[in-house]
Amino acid sequence: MKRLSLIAALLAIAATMSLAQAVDKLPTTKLPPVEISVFTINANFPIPPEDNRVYKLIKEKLGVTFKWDIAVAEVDQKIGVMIAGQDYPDLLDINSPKFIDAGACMPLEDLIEKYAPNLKRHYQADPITWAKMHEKDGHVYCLLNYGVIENGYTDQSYWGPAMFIQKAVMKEFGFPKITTIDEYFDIIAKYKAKHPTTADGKPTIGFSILTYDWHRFDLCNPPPFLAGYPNDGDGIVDPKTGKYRVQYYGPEAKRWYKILNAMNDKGLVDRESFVDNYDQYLAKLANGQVLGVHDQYWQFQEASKTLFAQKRVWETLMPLPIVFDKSTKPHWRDMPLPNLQRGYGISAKTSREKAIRIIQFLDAQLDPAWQKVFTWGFEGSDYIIDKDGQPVCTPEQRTRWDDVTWRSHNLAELWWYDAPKLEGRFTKNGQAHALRNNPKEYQASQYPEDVEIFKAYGVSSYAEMMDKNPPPNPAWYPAWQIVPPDGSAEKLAFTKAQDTYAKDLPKVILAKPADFEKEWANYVDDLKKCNLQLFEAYIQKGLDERMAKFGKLK
Amino acid sequence: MSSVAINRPAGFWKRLLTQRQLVLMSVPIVLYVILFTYVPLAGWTMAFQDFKPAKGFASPWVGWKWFQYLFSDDLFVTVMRNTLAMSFINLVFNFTFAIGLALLLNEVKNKWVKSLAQTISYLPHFLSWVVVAGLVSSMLASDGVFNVILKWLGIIKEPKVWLGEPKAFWWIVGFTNVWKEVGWNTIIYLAAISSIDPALYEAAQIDGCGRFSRMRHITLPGIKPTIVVLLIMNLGWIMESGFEIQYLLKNGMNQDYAQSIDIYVVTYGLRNGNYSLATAGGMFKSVVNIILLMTANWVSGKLGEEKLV
Amino acid sequence: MTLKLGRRRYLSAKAFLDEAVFGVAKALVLTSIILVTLYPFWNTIIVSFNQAIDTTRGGLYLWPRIWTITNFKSIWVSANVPHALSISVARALCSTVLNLFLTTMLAYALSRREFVLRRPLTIIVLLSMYVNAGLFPNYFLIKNLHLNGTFWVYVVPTLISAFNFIVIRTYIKTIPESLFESARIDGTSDFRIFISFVLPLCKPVLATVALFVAVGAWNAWFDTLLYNSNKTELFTLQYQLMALLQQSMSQSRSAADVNAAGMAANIAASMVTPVSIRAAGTIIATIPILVVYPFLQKYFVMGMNVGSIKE
Repeated sequence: MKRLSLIAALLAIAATMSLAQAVDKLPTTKLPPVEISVFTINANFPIPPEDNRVYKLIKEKLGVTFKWDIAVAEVDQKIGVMIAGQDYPDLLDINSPKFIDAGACMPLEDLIEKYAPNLKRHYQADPITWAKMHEKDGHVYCLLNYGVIENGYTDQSYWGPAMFIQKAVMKEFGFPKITTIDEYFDIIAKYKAKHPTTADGKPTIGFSILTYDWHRFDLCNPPPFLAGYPNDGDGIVDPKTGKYRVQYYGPEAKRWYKILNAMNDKGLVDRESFVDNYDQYLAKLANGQVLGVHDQYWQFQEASKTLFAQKRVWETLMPLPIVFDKSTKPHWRDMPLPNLQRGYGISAKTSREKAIRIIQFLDAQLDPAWQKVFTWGFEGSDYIIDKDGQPVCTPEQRTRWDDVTWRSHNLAELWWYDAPKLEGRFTKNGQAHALRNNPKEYQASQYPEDVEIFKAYGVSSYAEMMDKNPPPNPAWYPAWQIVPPDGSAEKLAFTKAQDTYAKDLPKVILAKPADFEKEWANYVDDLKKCNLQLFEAYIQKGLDERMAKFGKLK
Repeated sequence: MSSVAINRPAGFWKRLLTQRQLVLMSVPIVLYVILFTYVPLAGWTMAFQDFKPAKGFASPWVGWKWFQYLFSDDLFVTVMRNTLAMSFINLVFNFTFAIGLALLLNEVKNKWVKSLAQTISYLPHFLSWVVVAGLVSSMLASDGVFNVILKWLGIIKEPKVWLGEPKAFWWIVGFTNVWKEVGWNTIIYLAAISSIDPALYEAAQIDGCGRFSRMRHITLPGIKPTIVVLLIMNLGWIMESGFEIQYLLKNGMNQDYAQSIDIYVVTYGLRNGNYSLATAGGMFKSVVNIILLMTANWVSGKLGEEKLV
Repeated sequence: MTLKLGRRRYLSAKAFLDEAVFGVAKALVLTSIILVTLYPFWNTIIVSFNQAIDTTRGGLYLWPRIWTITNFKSIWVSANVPHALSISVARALCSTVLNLFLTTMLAYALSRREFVLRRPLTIIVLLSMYVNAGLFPNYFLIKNLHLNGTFWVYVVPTLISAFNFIVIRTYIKTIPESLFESARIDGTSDFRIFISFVLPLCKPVLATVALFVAVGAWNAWFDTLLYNSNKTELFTLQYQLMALLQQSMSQSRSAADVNAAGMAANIAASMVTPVSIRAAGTIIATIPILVVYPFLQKYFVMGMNVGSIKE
């Protein structure tokens, strides 16, 4: 105990000293102070407390303070009235075409050119990204918040969609190589037969589906992935012809639901998936009952955390890149994409002077020194550099990162979340922007159970498990970034389709195998009535435009 | 109703002048009501436009387009049916249970018990629908309390997924509504009952009237005006069967019976950024409400009962 | 022949048996009703005192599994409860007092049968309950009146409710006409009658309406979102709870986080989830109402009446 407190004391002293040094290294701007009013739809973080050290530094060194307007609920309606009333603060958080279409934003390309060398370099590093940032009228309105990677990406953990399976299942059968959907369900069935209940006596569930409210995309997302297509949202783009078709009633979909139907007949699918709400879905996962899902990790992270907290790591889920046939190459994992039309824009009502000041601030905070403060914290107090020059955390520092109260006092998450940022590596072959994505720290922060799994499969992370080297994205990808405007007939058709598949797919899956064809035909009929051709045509038009601009296919 | 002999002095304006205090006490307030309720109705023009927030009220005029869309949508018929059915069930349930509970509480002699029971009974009113829906979902789950009881009573052999039974949905909503609101609704009835002259009860008891007889002949007639007035008002809200409880409990399987007109307006209107459709839906609801209200009011008058206006 | 048992007098043995049976039935029904309506609230209480990350497992019925006050602490700290509370209380008080005064004045005026404008004004007020212009027109009105960004946007748009008007008006109708007539003969003006007679006599119905208005004002949050979302000093308690709910959603579900190995037990214990915040928030928001209600309740049972005319 005494030794620990001595270490802690020394660390604290080192921290204070290096904090001072680190602070000195931060770029400062000598311009007059300014208060930037920000509208953000990111309700994930509270308004920062007065004593937050990073915001204090921002004020001191860059002269900037913030006035926050956070949309805590009913975002669409809030944005609607803002537009109708033309009430715009200086920075607008763009998460849809709404603000841009309403003419609320100021063109930024001139400002970037003249006043923001960092932003210029950042966004123009990839000419295609820069070209994509221009809207139809030729202006750039939005400074993208994610996906603009200058020096190579580094993600270690996998957050995206996958067919997940409980780690215990893999362990039970000696970590076999599972690649096809049949193998997947096979092993689940075998495990379920051996373990019909969990240790607490709750029934084991083979496969669960999240269908509540807006989460119901989980119900219909698998088919393109299983067929080896990348994530184009609601449809599939033929790699040879560039033709887009909605995938909901395609041959891949039929194959998937037929499999699900057969599995349901075997008792592997949870009937209640179609009526459970989100909390009930999570509860089943949190009790270790569920052996397999198709979902995205962030959706059930809460349940995983519950299991981790109880030290039941084997009952958490791991991702697998499953496909229909052995011959299909899985394409679950993507290279990170520039997050188009997501990020901050400057309101057209801001004075030019203030806009210049704002752009200069955005430029300054993009400096690697500031970015390190945002994502790593301060050397000494939040991490240390080991003898190989790699950042690592001491155990106390590591657990402190999960403490929400500490974060709200010591990080600038509310700002950083939607701001222009450096991602991937800071320099070519340099360190990763996210502290935990640096290999040493990542390995150190893994559970021993996960390390065992990595060893068994010869990978160093779950991201690698999904795909060591995802293929580069075609320039026109992905199709889901093409969104029909509000109030349009295409959007209506799509909403109707959502209601339809939510209603009919449960019937298709729960039907007796003999009735499958009948229910499927009924489903396809109902979908056709939704006029999805309108939607398809709109996406096709968007894709054609992109392909014309950025080059066809691969 | 008594008739008061009305002296008819000269002309309307002269009378108005005599009643100027009443005018001052009412007209400004009614002007306020007009400003905050009726003036914004000019915004109903949105229903006749292709409203885009950016263009505001200068959006293009499309006439009846969105009403046509609304009425020709197959979903519309379903949605209307659901709304009316749920409202009707809610109305019947709420009235019977609230009045029933009021009568029951009235029979409780111990003041302390009566007060406690009343307070507890309206506690669910303060819970948000999200909390209540969560409870209902877990009670109706296959390992939930409802299935457990039914199995124990031998009514069913296998647990049923109740929220997956479309036809059960209206009843689930009805009972949940009662559970949440019955206590609150009883407040008005209890107060009405307590204003009935106790002498009437004593006289009836002496005459040998049984408890239920007393209820039938004294209590119920005593609160009949209350019931009638509330009934008329609630008929005017028939299109407001609700949004939250249906939205929270609906899923793919019971969707056909769960979607109410409010859900339709929010899903296809507001969440789609289609404010014109939302406004058209809102206008339609208001018109139906008012027609029903005035009809109920007129019928009530013809039956010799209380009228609202 | 009468039976005297205890303090009650029964007309016959049969009457006594009736009473006994009914008493038992009454007790049974009443107890079940109390238990059934108490349960949701009870469940909310135990969820609010249960460790958030454990609640995710479900299955909480009668008692918390892992006791904690973290949920409440978290709200107290992040939601700036004292200040938000003061705004909510101020709002509820202003709304209630103004509402009661204005609605009762209107109800009195429109209860006077001799008032020439009675019918048209009543219809205007009544129908206002059944029409709603929708989001944008109301927003524009508030904006044009420059109410947005102020405290008064919480009070001014909701000064009169037609429902409360009906309730109060019908109560006033039960006051004997003779009272007003004699007052008028004495030369008292209508306004004076309103202040000196009507308001005091209407205490029971005023207490009821006060409860309705106060609860409504207390629970509102959408107007804060629309009009005051950038003015932290005007955030109400419900709005802060709503914000906190969203934050807790990210805490447990955000993609910006990676699980630390050996997630320290105390970190797990200090996590909050939406379900727990909602439960704790409900308790915090409801307690003031439960505290105020008993004071109002004694007025209710004194006799409020909607619709019964005693002439």
